[in-house]
Amino acid sequence: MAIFTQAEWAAIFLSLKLSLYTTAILLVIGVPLAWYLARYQGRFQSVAQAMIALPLVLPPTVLGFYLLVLFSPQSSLGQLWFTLSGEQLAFSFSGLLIGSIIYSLPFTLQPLINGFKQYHQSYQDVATSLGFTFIHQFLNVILPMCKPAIITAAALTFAHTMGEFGVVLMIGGNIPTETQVISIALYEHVELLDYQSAHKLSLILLVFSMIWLTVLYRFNRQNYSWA
Amino acid sequence: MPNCLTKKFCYLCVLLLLNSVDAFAQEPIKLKVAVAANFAKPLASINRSFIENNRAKQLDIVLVNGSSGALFAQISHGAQFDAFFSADKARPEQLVKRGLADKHYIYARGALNLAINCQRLTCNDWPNSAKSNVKLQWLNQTLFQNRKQPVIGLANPKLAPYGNAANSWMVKNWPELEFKKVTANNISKLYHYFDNGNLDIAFLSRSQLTDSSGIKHSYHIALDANSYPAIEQSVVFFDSNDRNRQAIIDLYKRFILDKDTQMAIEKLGYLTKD
Repeated sequence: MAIFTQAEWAAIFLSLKLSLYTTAILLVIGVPLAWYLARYQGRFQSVAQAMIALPLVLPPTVLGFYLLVLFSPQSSLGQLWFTLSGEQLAFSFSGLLIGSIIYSLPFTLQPLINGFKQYHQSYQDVATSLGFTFIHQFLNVILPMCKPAIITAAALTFAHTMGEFGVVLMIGGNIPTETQVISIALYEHVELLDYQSAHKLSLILLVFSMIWLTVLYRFNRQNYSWA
Repeated sequence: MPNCLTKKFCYLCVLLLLNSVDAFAQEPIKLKVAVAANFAKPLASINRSFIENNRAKQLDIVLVNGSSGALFAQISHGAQFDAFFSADKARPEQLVKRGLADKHYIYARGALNLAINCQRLTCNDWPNSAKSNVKLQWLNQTLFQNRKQPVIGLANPKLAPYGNAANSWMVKNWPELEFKKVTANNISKLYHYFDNGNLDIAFLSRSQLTDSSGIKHSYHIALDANSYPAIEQSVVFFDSNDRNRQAIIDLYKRFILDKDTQMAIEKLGYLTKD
C-alpha cells in the first residue's frame, strides 16, 4: 500500500516548491533591505519596524482577505497582472507566492537585521582602509560574517512557509497541484473525518519541523561565537 | 441577648440582600446553535422572531457558523451545542445513529442557483425571458464561445452538500466544458470569492441571493430542482440535563418545525419540503 496518495504527494511537492520560491525571493529582497534597515536611524524607524513585524501579529485571514480583494480583476493590481500574464492572481500559484512573501517577510528580515546590526563599523573601516569597495566588502566580508543570520533567516522562512495555512485558505481555492498545499490537504482530511490520512500529513510536518529547527539551533550554537 | 438578636437580624438582611442580587443577576439562558453556512443568515432572522415571540423568557441564541462537515466533526468530538442545523441529512442521521441525538427533522430543502459575474463575462445580450432554460442556453453559448477557460466556483463537494449538488450538475450538463474549478470550504466563502470578483460563475444557494443587498453586476439562474441531487437539510436538537434549558430547547424545536416558520424558511430561498 502506498504511503501517500497522488494528491497528497502533489500537496507535499507544492508546499516544498512554494517554500523554496518564497525563501529564494525573500533572500534576494531581504538582504539589501535588512542591511539598509539595520543602519536606518531616521524618524520613521519605528513605523518601518512596525510594518515589518505586522504579519507576525496580524491574523492571516486579514492579509488573505485584503489580498483577495487586491487580486480581483476589478482592482488595478489584478488587472495589471492579468494583462501581463494572461492569468488571474487569486487561486493561482503566483498569488500564493505573493501572499507567502508578504506573510513570511518578518521571518527573513528579523534575523538578518539582527545579524547586520552585530557587524561593527570597525570591520567596515578596516576593510575600507584596505581599499575594498563597498560591493567587494559586502560580498567578501559582510555576507560571510553574517552567514549564520542568513542561514537562520532562510531556514525560518522555509519552515514557516511549509506550515502556511490561513493565507492559503483565503486565496488558494483548494485546487490540487496548483494551490492545495499540505496544510490545506490536511484540513480537508480532518473535516472529512479521515483521521488516518490527517495523521500521516501531520506527522510529516511535525517531524520535518522538529528536525529542521534542531539542525538550525545546533548550527547556530556553533556559529554565533564570532559575535 | 439583644446583641445576639441584632446579629441574627443582620445575617438575615445580608441573606435577603444576596438573594435579591442573585435574582437580578440571573443570566439569560444562552442557546448555542451550530449552523451550516448556507442557513446562517436565514436562521439569524428566524431566531429574532423566536426571541420576540418569547419576550418573557430571558434567552439569547448564539450561532456558530461553519461547513456541515466541520461542525459535525466538532460535535462528534464533544462540542456542546443545543441544536445543529446541517446542510444535509446524512450527518444528522449519523449523530442519531451514534446516540448523540434522538431524532433528526428535515427543516428545509436547498435550492441551487448559478450566479454569473457580468464584469468578467459579457452579459449585453442577457435574455429577457424569465425561463431558466433560456438563460442556461445563453450561458452555454457564452461559455463555449469564450476563448478563455471560465473560472467556476463551488463549495467543496466532499464537505458541503451544495458543492456535491453543483458537482453532479456540472458532470451532467457540462461534460465537455474546460474550466478552472475553484472550491471553497463552505458556501459563505464561495459567496465572498464571487462577490470580490474572482470567479466567472458560482454555484450558490438561492437563500444567499434573495437578500436585496446582494452581489452587484451579476445575473442569476435558478436551476431546476430535478437536475441535481436533492439537498435535504436536517436539524437535530440535543437534550440538556438542566430543566429550564430543556424547556427552552423544546420550545425552540416546536418553533422551528411550526408551519409558519416553515413558510418563512421557504420565503428565504428554499424549496417546499414535499
